Amino acid sequence: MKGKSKKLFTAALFGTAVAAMTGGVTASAAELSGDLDIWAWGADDEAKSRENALEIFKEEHPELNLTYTILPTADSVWDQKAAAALSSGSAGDVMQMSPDYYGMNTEFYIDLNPYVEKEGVNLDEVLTPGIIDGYYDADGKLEGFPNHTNCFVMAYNKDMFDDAGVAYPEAGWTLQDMTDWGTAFVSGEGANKTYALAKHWVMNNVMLYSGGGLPYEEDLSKANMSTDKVVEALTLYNTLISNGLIPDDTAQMTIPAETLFVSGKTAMYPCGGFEAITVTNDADENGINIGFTSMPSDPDGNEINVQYATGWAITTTSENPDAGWQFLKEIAYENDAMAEAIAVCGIPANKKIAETTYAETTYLGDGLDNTYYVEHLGNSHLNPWGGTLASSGDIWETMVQSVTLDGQDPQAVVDQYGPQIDTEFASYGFNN
Amino acid sequence: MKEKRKRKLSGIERRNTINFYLYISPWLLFFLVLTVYPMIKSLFLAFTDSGFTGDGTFVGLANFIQAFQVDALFWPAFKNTLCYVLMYVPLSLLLSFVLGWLLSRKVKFLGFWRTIFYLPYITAGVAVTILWGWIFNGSYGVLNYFLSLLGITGPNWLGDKHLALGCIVVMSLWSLGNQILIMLAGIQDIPASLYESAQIDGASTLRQVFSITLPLSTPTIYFNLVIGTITAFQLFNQPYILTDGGPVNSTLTVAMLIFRNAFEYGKMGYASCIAWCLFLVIMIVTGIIQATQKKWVFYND
Amino acid sequence: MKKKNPMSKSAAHRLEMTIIYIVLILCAIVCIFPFLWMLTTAFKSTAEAYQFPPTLIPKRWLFKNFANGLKQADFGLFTRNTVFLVLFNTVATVFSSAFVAYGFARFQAKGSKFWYTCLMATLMLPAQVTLIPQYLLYFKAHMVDTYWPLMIPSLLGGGAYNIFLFRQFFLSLPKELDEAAMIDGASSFQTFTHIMLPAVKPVSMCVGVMSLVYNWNDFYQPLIYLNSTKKFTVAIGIQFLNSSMGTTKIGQMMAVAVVMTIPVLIIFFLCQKYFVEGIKMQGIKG
Repeated sequence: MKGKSKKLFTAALFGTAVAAMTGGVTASAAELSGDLDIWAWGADDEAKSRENALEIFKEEHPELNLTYTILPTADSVWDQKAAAALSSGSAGDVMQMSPDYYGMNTEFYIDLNPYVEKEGVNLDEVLTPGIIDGYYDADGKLEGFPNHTNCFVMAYNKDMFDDAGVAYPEAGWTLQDMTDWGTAFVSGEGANKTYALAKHWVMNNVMLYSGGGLPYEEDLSKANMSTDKVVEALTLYNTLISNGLIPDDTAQMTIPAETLFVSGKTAMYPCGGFEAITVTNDADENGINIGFTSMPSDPDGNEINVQYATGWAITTTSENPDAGWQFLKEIAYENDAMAEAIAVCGIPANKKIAETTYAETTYLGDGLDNTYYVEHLGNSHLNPWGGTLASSGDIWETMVQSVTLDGQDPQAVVDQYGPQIDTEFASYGFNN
Repeated sequence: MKEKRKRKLSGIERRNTINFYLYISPWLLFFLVLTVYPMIKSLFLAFTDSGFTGDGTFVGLANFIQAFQVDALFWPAFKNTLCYVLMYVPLSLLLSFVLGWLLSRKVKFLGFWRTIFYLPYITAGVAVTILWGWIFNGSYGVLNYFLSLLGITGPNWLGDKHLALGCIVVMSLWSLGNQILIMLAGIQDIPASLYESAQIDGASTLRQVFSITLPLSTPTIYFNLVIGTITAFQLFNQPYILTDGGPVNSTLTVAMLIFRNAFEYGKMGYASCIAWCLFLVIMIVTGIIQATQKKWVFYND
Repeated sequence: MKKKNPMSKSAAHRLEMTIIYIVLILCAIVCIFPFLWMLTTAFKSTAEAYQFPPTLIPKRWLFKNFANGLKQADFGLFTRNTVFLVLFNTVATVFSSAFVAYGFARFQAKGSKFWYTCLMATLMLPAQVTLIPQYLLYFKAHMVDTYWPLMIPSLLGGGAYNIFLFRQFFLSLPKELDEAAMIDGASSFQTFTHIMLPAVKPVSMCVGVMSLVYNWNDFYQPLIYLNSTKKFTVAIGIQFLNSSMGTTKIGQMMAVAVVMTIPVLIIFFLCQKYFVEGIKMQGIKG
């Protein structure tokens, strides 16, 4: 109800705004018509939350002929399908994208800045803080608009900490400190082995920031991967793994890290907002008491948190971009019911819902509610290796494996691969 | 007289030609439109700097120079792929021959065994890869669990750059069902009279295998060799899901390199260039195999 | 040669068969273990699925995995779609590859060697190379989001592998068979449908079953070309249980995978006898 009246108000406001302007984009909720095709990806709960939001939009816009599809990512197939559809111009009007996965710098999407300007809305007031930043290109183009995002909390197994006689970690704890007290959790052989910290797939990126540096300049002009801080981070990572504090799994696929945590094999687990329900329920089912604390801090005392975001973009081939924008802004900030539908998978872009409905959601275990995620989002780095930066991300993964699995010297690894990342950055052409 | 015969022959020839093209026309249509055209297109892309959208400018041999001289992963990817082919293909031939031969020994419940050996091929899919990850896991894996029962501490299979590719070979060998059945069919196709005369001569089972079964199975082995080599060179799924090319790119295959460049890095032109290099390598290797066939493939006609 | 004692011969035979059965059983365990694991995991909770050491029999039988897993997508509709596609493609593949193979096997013409080499070369192309241009062609023909891109390859030759298997079988049949029919005044097409097709029943079963298994499990092509959920297949449906974020409900996924595998398993078991008869490699130059 609330959402609807707000929308009507915007529409009225818009009518006058459009009348006052000439040229540029024209959009008014009242004038929408025609076809709108939306493509999303997702599996399981993610897919369902998107379907719910899309159905709400469909119901509220009978004037639009809305069609949508939700596709499973199915290993590599989404990437291939999206590439084929986008390059042939047969993709939907609105495509799901992610600033940290697929969609940035592809030339497939229109710049959304004109729409935002036209809307005359202060994004800081309506969007969850920090959620839009990743969608701007190096040259300021707004490639997409946010749907939801997620960052991490450190979950810990209270029973294991109690048994080991180690104090629970508190905000400001560091991975460097953990090399001392974490050894208390290292025990057992073979199937009885226990570790201090699970090797969640996010760990490679957490470690990237653990030396205190940033992997590249904010304007993407150059990489900073040949620094002492990177050597420091790799050295620390290697210490943690070779001392048995973190398992040395190559492939996260071998055994889901979550399973190790909820069955008492690791004392700590970086728990993403998207998996908090599963993790807390599984831990409860196995009779494990868990608590929560901040993600570790770097040597300068800054929390290391990583953000994974999902949003939407409008294709350049779309014949109905105005209707597309209507969908983008409703799901991002204007339609509370849609935001509530997507809030089950993470922090919605809609600031109001993020701070109310979403934040109030609580979990089993000791004192985790989503307020944590909302508050810590501002401290987080967006997954650094998204989009075309994936080629540098793959090199970083090689660097990590060279040190932790192949026993190479961190300095030598940085000397070898740092320049390769510099070359990659030069080839992206962001600095011209 | 001579003239007449010639005319008659050319009549048959003409009819044969018409019939030939008539019958292969469905495939020919598919080949020309949906294979040749995409191939030409990708060959063209190989000489451009095309990005995500497929638009690009002609850059001459720049992509090939990039591949041969600059790209630190091009040669390792080919080396890994070749290593995989050299491990997988001979082992798959050996295993499918041995199992095919065992099944040809008039065992009871043949249908049951055949179904069991085909089972991995049917179940292959998303569930199976998850399972293999669990089998190979260094600390909690099923394989190392069984080894620990024997008092052996197993290695970190997928985390060791010398072992990971071997694990992928094992995983691929597991779904050998088609090849085993083709082998079995080939072996069963050998006339029973040949064995009977060997038995009268008192030849042992093992001797019969080497003097009759093996030589007469060479056409089947040849078929499995060619098809197996071609598919092995295009290995993608297992390393993509199980190791993502790691550790330290030791399981990165050419097909994965093509995928990453085309669909993740948005380097369509460069990806096409690598794909054409792979295509040429497969052509050459298959050509070599074909050239040797006269020396070892035994034809009974 | 000295005649061997019949007693020792049968003893040797018994020893041989014992060794054969032991090897077969060992290999069968390796082959069946993953399926068994899938089967038991289908009844387990996520927490129990990865327990160490592994349990073969679930401690708590979660039958609801099946119900919950099958609820994740419209599997009833997906099954109907899959059955239609699989039946169509299986029949089309058998007929069209037999048709094309007959041409390759029976008619010598200028260029037939060249086209045969081209046929085999198509196996060597990495699929990723042709994906985007092929997609563009189907898009221009207004075939994206229809079943045509999934059916056209079956209609037009059914793939080099199948054509090859059929060609080998045709070559193994005596030429007199079709020549006799031709002399009786039958056209080459009549010969093909009335004489040759019935004669190649074994290889038809073999190609049919392989095509069935392939089409049943393939999610790559359908996912690339289909957009509407109501056209999806079971193989796509199972991917809806595979979360990209690492929180896959493994029990439910295995439950669906088991349900999906069983029909193929039964069909294979019923057809496998013909399957093996259909493959001819002997005495034919490649």
